[in-house]
Amino acid sequence: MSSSSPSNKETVMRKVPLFSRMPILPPSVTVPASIILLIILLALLVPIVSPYDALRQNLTERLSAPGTAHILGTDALGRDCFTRIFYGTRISLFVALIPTAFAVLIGMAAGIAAAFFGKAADALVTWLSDVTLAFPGMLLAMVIMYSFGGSFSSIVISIVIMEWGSIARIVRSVTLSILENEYILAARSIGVKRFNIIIRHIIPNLIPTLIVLFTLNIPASILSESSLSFLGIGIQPPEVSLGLMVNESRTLLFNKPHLVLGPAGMIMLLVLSFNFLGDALRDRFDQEV
Amino acid sequence: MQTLISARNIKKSFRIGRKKRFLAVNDVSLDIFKGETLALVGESGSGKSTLAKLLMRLIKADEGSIAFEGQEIEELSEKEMLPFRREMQLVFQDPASSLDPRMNVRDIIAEPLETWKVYDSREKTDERIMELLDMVELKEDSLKRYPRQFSGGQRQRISIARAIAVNPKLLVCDESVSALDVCVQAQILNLLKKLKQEMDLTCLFISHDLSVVSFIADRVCVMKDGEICETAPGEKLFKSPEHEYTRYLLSSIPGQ
Amino acid sequence: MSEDLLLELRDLSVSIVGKKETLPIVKGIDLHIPRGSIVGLVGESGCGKSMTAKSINNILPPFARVTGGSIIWRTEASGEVDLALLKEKEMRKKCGTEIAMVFQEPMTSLNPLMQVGEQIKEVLTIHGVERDNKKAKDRVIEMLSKVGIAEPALRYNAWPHELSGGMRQRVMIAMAMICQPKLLIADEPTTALDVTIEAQILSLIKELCRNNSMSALVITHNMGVVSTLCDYVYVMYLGSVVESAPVKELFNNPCHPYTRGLLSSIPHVGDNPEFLHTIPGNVPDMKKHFKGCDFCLRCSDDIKQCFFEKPALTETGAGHFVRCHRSLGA
Repeated sequence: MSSSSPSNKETVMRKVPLFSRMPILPPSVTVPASIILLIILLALLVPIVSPYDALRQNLTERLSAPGTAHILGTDALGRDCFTRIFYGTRISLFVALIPTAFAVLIGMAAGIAAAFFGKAADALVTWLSDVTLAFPGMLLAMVIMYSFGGSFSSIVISIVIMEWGSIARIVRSVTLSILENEYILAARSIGVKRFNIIIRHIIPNLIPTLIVLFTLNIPASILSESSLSFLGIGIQPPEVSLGLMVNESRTLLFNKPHLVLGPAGMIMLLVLSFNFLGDALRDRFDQEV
Repeated sequence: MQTLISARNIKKSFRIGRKKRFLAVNDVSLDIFKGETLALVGESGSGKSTLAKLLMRLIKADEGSIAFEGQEIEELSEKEMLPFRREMQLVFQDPASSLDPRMNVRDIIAEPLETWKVYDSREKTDERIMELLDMVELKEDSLKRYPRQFSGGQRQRISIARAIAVNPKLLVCDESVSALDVCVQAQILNLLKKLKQEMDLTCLFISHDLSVVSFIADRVCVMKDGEICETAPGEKLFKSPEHEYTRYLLSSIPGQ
Repeated sequence: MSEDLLLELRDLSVSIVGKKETLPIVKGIDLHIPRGSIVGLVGESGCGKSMTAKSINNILPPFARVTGGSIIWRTEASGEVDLALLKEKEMRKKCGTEIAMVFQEPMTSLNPLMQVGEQIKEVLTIHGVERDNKKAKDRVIEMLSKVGIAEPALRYNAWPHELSGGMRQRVMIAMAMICQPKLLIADEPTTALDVTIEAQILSLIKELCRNNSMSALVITHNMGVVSTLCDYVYVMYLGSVVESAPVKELFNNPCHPYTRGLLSSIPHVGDNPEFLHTIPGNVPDMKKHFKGCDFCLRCSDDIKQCFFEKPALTETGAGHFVRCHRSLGA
C-alpha cells in the first residue's frame, strides 16, 4: 500500500528543529514594561532604601530646595518629597491594580454570561452596563465617596462600578466570535458540558483580550484615584497618595513647582507606560490571531 | 442489515428576514445501516450539512422523528442526549477552526476521553492517546505542539483522532477533505477508509465532490433543495443514475 | 516564435523580504503565454502559483517582492515592456486595461455598498475608456448579457448580496472583460463554486477567450479544471516549475514523479481502487535549503544524483519540459 507511511527520508528532514523560535518581544512591549517594573521595584523597596520617613514631619527643614540631602526638596511639613512620591506610588498602584482586577473579573463573568446564556441574560447584562455607562463615572464615584466616606474600599467599589460595563461589552463580543468557531461545536458534539466549554475553551481564548483590557484600564484607575484624592474625597491624610500630594502642594505651584510636578510627573509616567504597554500587547495579540 | 440511525419525515426551516422562512430540510426520511459508509451529496444550500446536524441532534428538527439504535432521540433534552453524544462523533471541514488554538494536541485528543472518564488514570489516557496518534499516522512528538504548528492535513488527522478516541459507532465527516490539497486529500481519504475497516465504523460522509464520494461511499444519497432525490449503492448510482439531477451533477464534473 | 508570445516570464523570482532574511517563494520560473491560448498553472497551496500571478500585474502583498528576472509584455499598442521594472502607476497606465484579473472569492471582491452595474461601469470611467455615461451603461449591460446573466438591464441595479455565488463570479468576469483585456488572469476562479456552476463558468471563460482572441492564465489546484480549460499546463512544486507540457501530453504522458503522483491521487468516478495512490510525506518547509532535487525526499523513484544536484528543466518531447534526473535517462 502506498499510503503515507512515515519514511526514513522524512525523519532526516525533521532533524532541523521546526519551532525553535522563542518569542522575541519588541521594544514597544519591553520599554514600558521595564519602566513599570522599575517603578514597582522602587515603590516596594522605598522603606529600606530611603533614609526618610514619609509621614514624619520635620518642621526645621520645611520647604527646603532640591539638593543633595533631599532630591526633590521637602514639602510644607518638612517631609522628603522624593520618598513620599514612591510611598504615594505604592498606594496608587495598589488602588489601581485591585479594582481593575475586580472589574476585569466581573466584566468577564458578565460578558460570558451575556454571550453564552441566552437572550434574557444578554438583555440583563447589556441593560446593566448601559445604566452604569450612562452616568458620568466621576459623578458616580463622588456620590459613592460622599455616602460611604473616603475609605479604600469605597475607592475600589467606585472604580469597579466605573469600569466593569465597558469590559463586559468587549468580552461579550469577543466571546460571541469565539462561539462561532467550530471547535465549540466539536466540544458540544463530543458531549462536553457547558460549564466545561466555558472553562476549557472560552476563557483560555479570552485571556489575551483580558490581559489587554487589564493593562488598558489600569491608567484609568490610577487617574480616577488621583482625581478623587486630589478633590479631597479619596485617600485621606495622613496617608500618602500622588493625587493628594498634588492637592497639598497646589498653592505652592509657582513658588515650589517641583512639589507639584514631581507627583504629577509620576502619575503621567505610570499612565503613559501602562497605556503604551496595553497598546503594544494588543497589537501583538492581534498579529497572533 | 441492522439500522444504526433511522430518520422519518424530518423537516427543518430557518428564519430569514422578518417573515420569510427557508426550508432547509423538507420531509426527509433516511436510514443509515451499521457498518456502511453513506454519502450525502449535493450543492451548497441543498441542506446536506443541516441534515447531518439534525441527525446528530446538534440542532432540533421542526417535525419528524430520529431513532438511534431503535431509541427515539429527537425529543430528548440536551442532558438526556449526552450519553448518545459519545456514540456519534464529527469531523469538520475547516481544520483551522475546529481545533482550539490554545490547546495542545494532547489536550485536544484527551478531551473526549476525559469528558467520558474512559480511563481512571492519566497514564492510561496518555497510552490511549499515543495509540490514537499512531492510528492516524502522526508522530509522537506532536503531543506538546499546538494546532497552528501543523499543516491542514495534519490538523485533519488530529480532528480524526479526537473523533475516534471514544470508539464511537457513527463518524460524521462534514466536507472533511474539501479544504485539502489533492495529495493530502488522498492521504486522508485512505486513512478514513482504513480506520473504518479497522474499527467497524459507520460513516456518514458529506461532500459536494462526486469523485471523492465515488471512492469512499457504499451508498450515496443525492440531495437537492432540502429533499433527497436519489439514493442508491455507489456503483449503481455512478453507472446508471436514474434521477435527472444526478445525471446533471455527474456531467458537470470537470475533466471527466 | 517569441513574437507570438503575449507574455513571457523570464527567470522570475519572488521573495518574502523580511528584516533579517529573504525567503524565496518563486525560484526563477520561465512561463510563456502565447496569444489566444489558455495556460494553466497548477500546484498545491503554498507552491507559489498565486504569487507568480500576482507579480504579473504588480499586486503582490507588501511583504513580497520581485527579486529577479523579467516579465515581458508584448502588444502592438505598447510594444515590448518589462513589467517588472515599471512602477505601480506606470503599470496601471500602460496595461491597466490590458490585463484583467478574476479572484477566487466573488463575495469579498465586490463592494457590498455599490450596485453591481455601477461597479462595472466604474472600471470604464476610471480608465477613461468610455466617458459618456449613457454609452458606458449600455456597454455594461451588453457585457452582462455576454457573461450569461439573464435580464441584464434589471441586474444592473442589483446589489452584490442579492446575487448567488455563480452570479457574482459572472459579474466579476464581466468586470474583468469590460475593457477588452488582452490577458485574463483567473486565480482559482471556480474553487468556491458548486460543480454545476463551475462547469458553466469554465465554459464561459473558454468561450470568451475564443470569441475575443484573449489569452488567459488560469491558476488552480484542480486537475479537472486544467483538463477542461487549458491548452498548455505548468506544474509547480515548491516555487519552481517541475513539468510543463501541452495539456493532452501532460495527462497522457506525465513524466515528473510529482505530476504522476498528483494525477494518480485524484479519485475518479467510475474506477474504485481499494486505496488511492498518495505521495508520501508532506510538502517540505520552504525555509530549508537543500542542494538536491526539491522533490527527492518524497520521490519513490530517486537515484543518488537527486540528493546532490538540482535537475534542470529539459525538453523531452515537443513542448514537453521536465525537471527530473530520471527522465533524462541519467
